[in-house]
Amino acid sequence: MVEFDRSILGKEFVLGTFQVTEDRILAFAQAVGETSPQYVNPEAAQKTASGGLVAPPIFYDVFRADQPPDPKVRFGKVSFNAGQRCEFYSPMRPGDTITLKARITDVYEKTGRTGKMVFIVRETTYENQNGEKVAVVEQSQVRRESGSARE
Amino acid sequence: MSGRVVYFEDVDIGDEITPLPMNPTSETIAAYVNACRITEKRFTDDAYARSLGMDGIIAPGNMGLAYLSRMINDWAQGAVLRKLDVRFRGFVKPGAQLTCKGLIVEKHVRGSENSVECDVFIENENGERPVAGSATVILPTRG
Repeated sequence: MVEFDRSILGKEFVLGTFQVTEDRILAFAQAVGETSPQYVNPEAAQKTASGGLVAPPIFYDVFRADQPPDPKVRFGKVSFNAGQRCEFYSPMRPGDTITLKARITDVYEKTGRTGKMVFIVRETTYENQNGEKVAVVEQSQVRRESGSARE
Repeated sequence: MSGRVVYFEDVDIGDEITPLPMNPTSETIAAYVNACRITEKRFTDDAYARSLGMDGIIAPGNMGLAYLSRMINDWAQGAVLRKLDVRFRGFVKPGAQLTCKGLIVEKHVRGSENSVECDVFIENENGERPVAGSATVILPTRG
């Protein structure tokens, strides 16, 4: 069995609070080539169903915590994103203050054709200033000995 | 491009979502990395990526999610992405000729929230799918 800090499993960590600004929404939307008014044009967005500029769903990726919970897995030289399960409840808007809370929900190992891999599953909840959950993201991170191949 | 409104009543199981080309370059990857303030160098520094045993830089996995999300929104104005669940099976590298694709596989009536379940994936020119999974999309209902 892979060695890691089991005491961290299930424990919730508040990772920080972040501001949603118009500039960051526009930069994100532009980087992925969005053209819908609700994502790229603050003025025209007012006439859309969203009633103003909103962030595209994957905008949550702009919030980066310095110290996400670390189960201190003692295996692997490189780590990759293995998968992501996201649920979106309401779009983020300029002026919102988003608090990130994260917990490690699982650590397990698997042997694939490229050898042993260890998966770390982390769930992050994004909450706005009204205490409403706007998104929940479960990310699966895989640790392996080399970055040369992927399953 | 902002698509037309697609109503729940007008789609059927087996319908395709309008595909979206994704042609990542080191510039578009850098734009995403900058917008998200990602500090990991494997997305921007070829030499560093090679030191990890990779061929060179790759796109962040979430950039693929952002394109899948864009595909749905471009296809159906007024659609709301409720859930996106994908696995990363391969790297997305600069220079790849990729296409985001989707297919409606289920329809669910839940009062005012009528949704479709879709298979979604990013496919390369050889038919391989470095990113694949499912999406739940709420579509507007004809009044």
